[in-house]
Order: sequence, then structure tokens, then C-alpha cells
Amino acid sequence: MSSERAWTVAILVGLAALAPLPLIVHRDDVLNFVLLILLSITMAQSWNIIAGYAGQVNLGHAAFFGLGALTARTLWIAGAPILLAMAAGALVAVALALLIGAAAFRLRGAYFAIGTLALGEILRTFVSNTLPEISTLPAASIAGYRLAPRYYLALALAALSVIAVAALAGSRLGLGMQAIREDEDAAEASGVAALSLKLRALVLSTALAGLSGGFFAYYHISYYPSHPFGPHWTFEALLMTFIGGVGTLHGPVLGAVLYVVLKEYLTVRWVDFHLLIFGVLFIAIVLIFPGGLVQATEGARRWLARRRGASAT
Amino acid sequence: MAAIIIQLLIGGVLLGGLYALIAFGLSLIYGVARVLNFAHGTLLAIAGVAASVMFAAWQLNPVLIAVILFPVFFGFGWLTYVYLLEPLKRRNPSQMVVGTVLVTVGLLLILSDLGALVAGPTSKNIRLELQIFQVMGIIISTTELYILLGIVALTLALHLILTRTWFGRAVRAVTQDTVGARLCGVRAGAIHAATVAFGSAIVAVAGVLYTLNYPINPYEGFALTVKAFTIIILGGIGSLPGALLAGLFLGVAEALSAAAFGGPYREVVSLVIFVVVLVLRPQGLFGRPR
Repeated sequence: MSSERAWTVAILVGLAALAPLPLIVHRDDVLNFVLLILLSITMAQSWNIIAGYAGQVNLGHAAFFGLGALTARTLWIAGAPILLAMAAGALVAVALALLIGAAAFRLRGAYFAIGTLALGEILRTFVSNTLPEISTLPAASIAGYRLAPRYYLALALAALSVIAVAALAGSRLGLGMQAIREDEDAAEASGVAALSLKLRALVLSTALAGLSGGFFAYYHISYYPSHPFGPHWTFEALLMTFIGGVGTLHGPVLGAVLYVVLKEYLTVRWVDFHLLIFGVLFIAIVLIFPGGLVQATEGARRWLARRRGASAT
Repeated sequence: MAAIIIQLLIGGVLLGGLYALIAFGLSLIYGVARVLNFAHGTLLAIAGVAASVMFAAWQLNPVLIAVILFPVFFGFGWLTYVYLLEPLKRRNPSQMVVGTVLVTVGLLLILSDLGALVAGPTSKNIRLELQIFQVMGIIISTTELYILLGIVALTLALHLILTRTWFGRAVRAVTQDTVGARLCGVRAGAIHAATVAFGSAIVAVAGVLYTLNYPINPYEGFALTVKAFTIIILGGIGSLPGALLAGLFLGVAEALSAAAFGGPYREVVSLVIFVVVLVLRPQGLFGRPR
């Protein structure tokens, strides 16, 4: 527990240290890069809540991100303040999540995973069919476009996601979720209201995904409305969480940083084969690091401690 | 009017039957080995592209192509299970699920890029010489008849293998009770590997059938995987007759709705069907609650 608190403090201090960056660095590429890491942290943490803590593997996270983006963009362009538009986007995402969750959680096994997957893909095809035109901000908004407020919003969302997971991890609610993840029958027998807890985890997770989607709509000047529904949003969140450590507080943060750095490097260096390289990377990471970086570093620390103990005697 | 509807039904049954063939392998692999195989549709795409290339190069009979591809994909599926998926079985449940998803997605990316590298990213199909029959205003081509025949033959073969052979009994035993099956001398690990191999081989044959009528490129597999997963939910997880009926149902519903409301809305119909079924009958149209 205490190490978790230490990590929370360390991560929040790290995020706070990033706050003055727009004042010091005046290069947009650096700010955009850090912003991408921050968005990735938020997405990974939000996926980590439902899958890592509550054990319900959501394969349609992009659906909620996309709905948040679509709703927020529409309202914002229509004149609503961006924070309000983002909140509305999160609400729409949560509403759909409750509908699907209430149905799929009644059954065990793969129903939730496959259900969310199918939902995401069907929504993506639907949006790309009905809104095929690229969405571009009105000229007046483009003229007033500033990167700094976007950067601070991304920073705030990343901090929010870390605080949410930190608050959850040690709470009664979070412990109940972890009990469901380990053994749902045993958890229910011990008085954990499994369905209600799973739904609460889903609400928290999709609200964060919806807010991130709203941020995406605020950040990008032009994009295809179906882009935020793309399956890579889901699978990247999955991979980042896995690289770090599923169901840990700091894992998704480490995973997001490592993944974004690696991805930027690879896509610049190997444009033609980047899918191939990502595929190899996906497989290699899963096979080599079963519990992610968190477990790997713990293993290394234990190994070092043993060696030190052996040399002392 | 009636002729048009029958014509649409034929198209829907054809596509739906192919969807069902994809869903069979996927459902079998999930039911037995507990692997959500995201590379499944991509295997179909690769098999389809390979078949088209082989046909264009050597004018081989598509049946012969299927006979050649079957053992290749069987072997590929076996190796995939033994080297990439089996190691994940020793991990805790949530790490295993996430791990298998990431490994099969990785495989999907590798296969798509390799396929495009070798055969090019454009869509291809097997161009048989068409003969067209017209019966009472309904038009059917020979390829459509071949595909229909192929779907029926493959479904029947699968049914017989699962119900009448030792392999089929072992598969069902492992699905129902792994420990019990082990106690009876069934090597569960080998059955898992054989099922993944068998499912991959079936989808390769489905790929040959698919490309008789529809062009495909190496990147199109994911959409088919998702379609097959939707069918598995609609039909009830683990139910092969359910998958067949759900596949036909979805194919027909898509064909009719595309004709009635226009192409873009066929996805809306699948979305509505999917959400309604999930909310009202989450165990699937033909599944039993567990």
C-alpha cells in the first residue's frame, strides 16, 4: 500500500513538473509529443480501471472515446463551451456503456469482451458511412487556435486519471473490484455486489474515455469523424497497460511513456513496415514480459537483493 | 417483386453462409482453447489472396487449391498455438485474456503486412468463367452454386467430424470438462492445439470459397473477424447450429436492408439487431443461459 502511495506522489510530482513546459519550451513538436503521452496515459488508465482492476476485458474502448469525440465536437462547434461539451460527450459514452454493460454483465465469460468489440466496430462503420466528410474547425476557431490550453487540459486529464485510479486502488470499491477479478463467485459469496461494482467500474472507465475523446475533438483541427472510433485506440490502450502491468497504478503510466516513445521512433525510422514491426513488438512484449515492466523490475530487484544477501554471507 | 426478393435472399444466404463458416472456426477455437483469435479473419483474407494468386498463375482447380491450403493453414494454426498461445496458459486469467488478444492482434498485423508485401495490397479474387442460369426471372451463376455447395459440404463435414469421430468427442469432452477429459486419457493440450489448427484450416477453405465471388485484400480480415464475433454472440457462444442460423440471419438481414434503405444503412441494421439481442436475450438467439 505504502509503495502505491509513493508511486501516486511520484507520478503527480512528475506531472506537476511538466506544467511549466509551455513557458520554457517554445517548440510545438515537443509540446505535441508530451501531449500525446499525456493522452495515452489517460486512455491506458481508463482501460486499466475496467480491465485491470475489475477484470472485465473491454475490447471496444474506442467506441466510448469516439462517442465522446463526436458529441463534444458537435456541441463545441455549435457554440457550447468546450468543458461542457466534453462533459456531455462523457455522459453519452457512459449512457451507452450502461446499456451494453447491464446486458453483457448478466453473463460470464467472453460476452462483454466480444460485445464491446462488435459495438465499437459497428459504430465505426456506421459513423464512417453516415459522416464521410472530414470535420474541420471553422476558420475563426483555427485563427484563435493555441496549443498551451490543449496541453494543460491533457495534463489535467492525465492527473485526473491517475488520481481516480489511486483513490480506487485502496478503497473498499476498488478492493471489491479486484475480488471480482480474482474470483467472481468467491467475491459474491463474501458479499460483494458484483454486477453493481462492475457497472461502477465501467462508468468510471468510460467517463474518462469519453472525456479523452472530447479532448481529442478539441485538440485536432481536422480529422475524419470515424477516426476516433478506430480499433487502434482500444488495442493501444491495452498494449500500454500490458507493457506496464495490468491492474497496477504506475504500470499504465510507464507503459504509455515507453510505448509512445517507441512508436514515434519506429514510425519515423521504418515507415513502410511499421505494422509488421508493431506486430512483432506486440507478440514479443507479451511473451517476454508476462506481468509487464512492473513485475520485471520487481523480479530484478528481488534478484539483486538475493545476490547482495549471498555476497554478504 | 417476388423475384427481386428471392434474388436478394440468395445473395444474403451466400454471404451469410460464408460468415457462418468464419464463425465456426472462431467459435470452436474460443470454445475449446479459450482464445479470442483476432487473426482469424485475416487468415481467411490471406488464404483468399493466396488462392487468387495460385489460380491466376497456374489455373488450378479451386478444389485443389483448397486441398493444398488446408494442411498449410493447419500447420500454421498448430505452430501458432504451441509457440505463441500455449505459453500464456500458465498465467493468471486476466493476463491470459489480454495476452492472447495482444498476440493474435500482433499476428494479424504481421500477416496483413507480409501478405501485402508478397502479393500486393490490392483486392483479388478467383476469376472463374461464369455461366449464368435464369430460372423464372431469378439469376444464379455457377460460382454462386459452387459456393453454396461448398458451404453445405463444409458445414456437413464439420458436423460429422464433431459428432462422429474420436477427435470430435475429445473436443467436446475438453470443452465441457477439461479435468474430466484429462482423467479419461485425453491430452487436453494436444486437443487445444489441434482445434486451433483445425479452425485455421477451415477458415482457409472458407477463404477459397469467399474469393470465388468477392475480392479481398490482406487488410480486410479484421472486419470479417468482428462480423464472425457478432454472429457468435447472436447465435450463442459455443453453439455451432446457432452460428449457422445467426450467420444466415445476418447475411439476409444485411442484404434486405441494403436494398430497402441503401448501402450505408446495412451496418445500422446489424447494430440494431445486435443491441436488441444483447439486451433482450444476452445468451444469444439460440444459446442456453449458463
